[in-house]
Amino acid sequence: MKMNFKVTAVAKVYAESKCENLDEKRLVPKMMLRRRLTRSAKMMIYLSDQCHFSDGPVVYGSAYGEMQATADIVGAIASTQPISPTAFQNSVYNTAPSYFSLLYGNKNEILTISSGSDTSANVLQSAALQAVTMNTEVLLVCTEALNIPNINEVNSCTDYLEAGVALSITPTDVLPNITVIKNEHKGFSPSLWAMLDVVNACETKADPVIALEL
Amino acid sequence: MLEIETLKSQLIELFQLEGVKAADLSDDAALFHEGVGLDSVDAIELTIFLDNEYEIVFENMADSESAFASIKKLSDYINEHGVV
Amino acid sequence: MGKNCVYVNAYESLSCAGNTSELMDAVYAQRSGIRIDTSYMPETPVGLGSFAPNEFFASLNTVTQSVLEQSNLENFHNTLLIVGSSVGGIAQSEQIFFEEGAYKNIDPAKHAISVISDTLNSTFGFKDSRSISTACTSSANAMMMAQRLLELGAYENVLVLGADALCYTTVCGFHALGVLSSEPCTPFQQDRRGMNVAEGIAALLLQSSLERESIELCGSGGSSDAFHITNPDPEARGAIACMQNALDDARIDADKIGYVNAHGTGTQANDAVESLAAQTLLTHKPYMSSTEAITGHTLGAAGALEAVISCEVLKRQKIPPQSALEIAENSEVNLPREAVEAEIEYVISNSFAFGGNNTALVFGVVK
Repeated sequence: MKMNFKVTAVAKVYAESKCENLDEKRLVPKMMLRRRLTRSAKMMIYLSDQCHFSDGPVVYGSAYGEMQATADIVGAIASTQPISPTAFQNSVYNTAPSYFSLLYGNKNEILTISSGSDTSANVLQSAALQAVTMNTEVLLVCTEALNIPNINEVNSCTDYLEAGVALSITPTDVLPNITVIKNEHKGFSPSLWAMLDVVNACETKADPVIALEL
Repeated sequence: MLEIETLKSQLIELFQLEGVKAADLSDDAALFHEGVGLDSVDAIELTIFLDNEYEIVFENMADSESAFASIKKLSDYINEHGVV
Repeated sequence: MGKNCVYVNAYESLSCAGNTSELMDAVYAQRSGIRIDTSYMPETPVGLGSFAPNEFFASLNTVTQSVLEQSNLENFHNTLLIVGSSVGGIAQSEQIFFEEGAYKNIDPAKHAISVISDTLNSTFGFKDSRSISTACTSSANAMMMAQRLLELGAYENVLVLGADALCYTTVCGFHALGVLSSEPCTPFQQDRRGMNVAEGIAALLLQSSLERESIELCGSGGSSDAFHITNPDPEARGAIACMQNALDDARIDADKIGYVNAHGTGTQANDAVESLAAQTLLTHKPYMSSTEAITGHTLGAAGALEAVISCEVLKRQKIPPQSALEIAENSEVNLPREAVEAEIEYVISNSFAFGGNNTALVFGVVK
C-alpha cells in the first residue's frame, strides 16, 4: 500500500572514522547530559537539528546499535571487571532516540527499527505508517557508529564508520514529483542505503513529494 | 594519604565532566542533585570505583550517604576507611 | 476511510514456565518458573528464567510452526513478520568473544537483531519482515505496528514475534544497575528486591478476519517519558499518557477495563510508577497483576508474551493472582491474592522500557 509524502527536510553526515563537527556543545548545552551521549546520539541530535525537528513522532533505525557500549560490557565481563552501569544503559538499540527525547522533552511515540541491511527501508515504511496514523510530520533518522577498536576484524566493506541520514515527512494528497532510484552507496553500510536514495533524490528538488510503501 | 585535588581529578575522569578542572570543584560541593549534579547511575559508578581503587565497600546506605555528602567528606572517608 | 478490526487469531509462547497452556496453569497456581543461578556471576546468585540450554533458535521455529498449525493459513507467504527483540544474537557473539578474545569469527548478521527474522524467513518464507528494538517495549511496539497496518488494510496477516535469549550482557548489566533479585521477584510487594531476567518467545498471528476464537486487539498507545535514560518518571506521566492513548485508540472509557496485565518487573522504580499510573487513571480499581513472578522479565519478548496471557485471560474469564505478594506497597491498587473468575470485557497490558519508552495494548472479547 503506497501513500504520498512531502519530504520537508533532508540531512546526512559521515566520516571515515569520526564526524568532527556535530556541534554538540551548542545543541546540548547541559554538560551533565552531553557527557553521556553516545556517538549515535550525537549524530542523531545533529541530524535532527539539520532537519529543524525536535517535537513530534520519531522513527530511528540502526542495524548494529551501540557497538562501543556493547564492546565495553562484553570486554569487562571477559576480563572479570565490573560493568559500568552507564555502558549498560547506553547499550540498548533505542539509546540515541532516548537521549534526543530527553534533550527536547519529546514525549511522542519514538520507535526504533533494527532490520540488518533493510533497516533504513523499514524506517521509511514505519515512518510512513506513523505519519499516516497520526496525520503529522515524522522525523526519520538512521545511524551507524562502527568506529570501535578492532572493528576491522569484522568489517570489510564499510568505509564510513560513522554515518547518519535523516529526513522528515508529512502525509499529502499531492502526487509524487520524483521517483526514488535505488543505488548502491559504496562505502556506506547497506543499512543506510534506502534513506540515502531518498535524500539524494530530494536534495536538489524544491518541495519534493515521494510515494512510500507502508 | 589521598589528596583532595587528586580525588577531584579522578572524579572528573570517572564522571566524564568535560571542560571541568579540579580548581572548578569546591571541596564542599555536594556530589548529588545540586552541587556537581550527579544522578543515581553515577552513584553506582562511584561505588564500583571506590571498591576497585580503594577497596571501600559500604555496609549500609547511611555510610554511603554521609560519605557522598561532599567531595571533602568523600576524601575524608577514603583516607579513614580505604586502602590508599 | 473505515478502519478494519484487528483480531488475534492464533498464538503460542515459550518461557521458563513452558508453553502457553503450561504457563497459564503455572500462573493460576502461582508456581514460579524462576530458578536461582550462579553460572553467570559465580559469587552472585540471581533469579533467572530459562528453557533448556541452546534451544533458543530451534524454539523460534517450533513456536512459529505451532502458530501456523493453529491458524487458517497454509503457510506464511502472504504474512508480514514483525519481530520485537532487545538483544538479538548477542549471546552467540559473547560466546565467541569469551573463547577467542577477538571479534574475527563473529558474524555481524548473527549478532544483529535481524538474526531472528533471518532464522524465521529461512524456515517460513514470510512475505516481508521488519524488526523493532526498543528494549522492553520491543514486541509491544510490534503489536502496535501490526494493528495499524491491519487497520489500514496494508496487510491481511501479520505475525508478531517477541523473542529474547538470556545473555551475559543483560544479566550482568541489570546487576550493575542494582536491580536484580537473588530470588523469584515479588512484584508490587512492599520490600521487593528487584527483577529476574528471563528468556522468552511469543508469537501471535494478527488478522483482519474474524475467526471462531478471535480476541480483538482494540487499541494501542505509546509515549515517551523524557525524564531519564533508565529511571521512569516518578510521577507516572508517561505511563498514564500511553495507557490513556491506548484507551482513546480503543474508544473505550477507562472504567471498562476489567484487568490490568502489569509490566510489574519487581523493581522499586517500575512497580511504584505503574501502581501510581493505575491508581490515577483507573479509579474503579480493576484487578491488576504481574505474571513476571512466574515467567521472569523477558525483555523484548515481554510485550508479546503478556499479550498472549491477556488473550488467555479474556478467553478463560479468569484473573491471574498477584503471586508472591504478602504486603502490597500501594494499597490503592487491586492485587488479587488468588485467581478470580470474573466477567471481563477488556484487558490493558503495559510495557515500559529504558529510554522512557512506554506502550499499552487493549484487548477485548469479540462482541
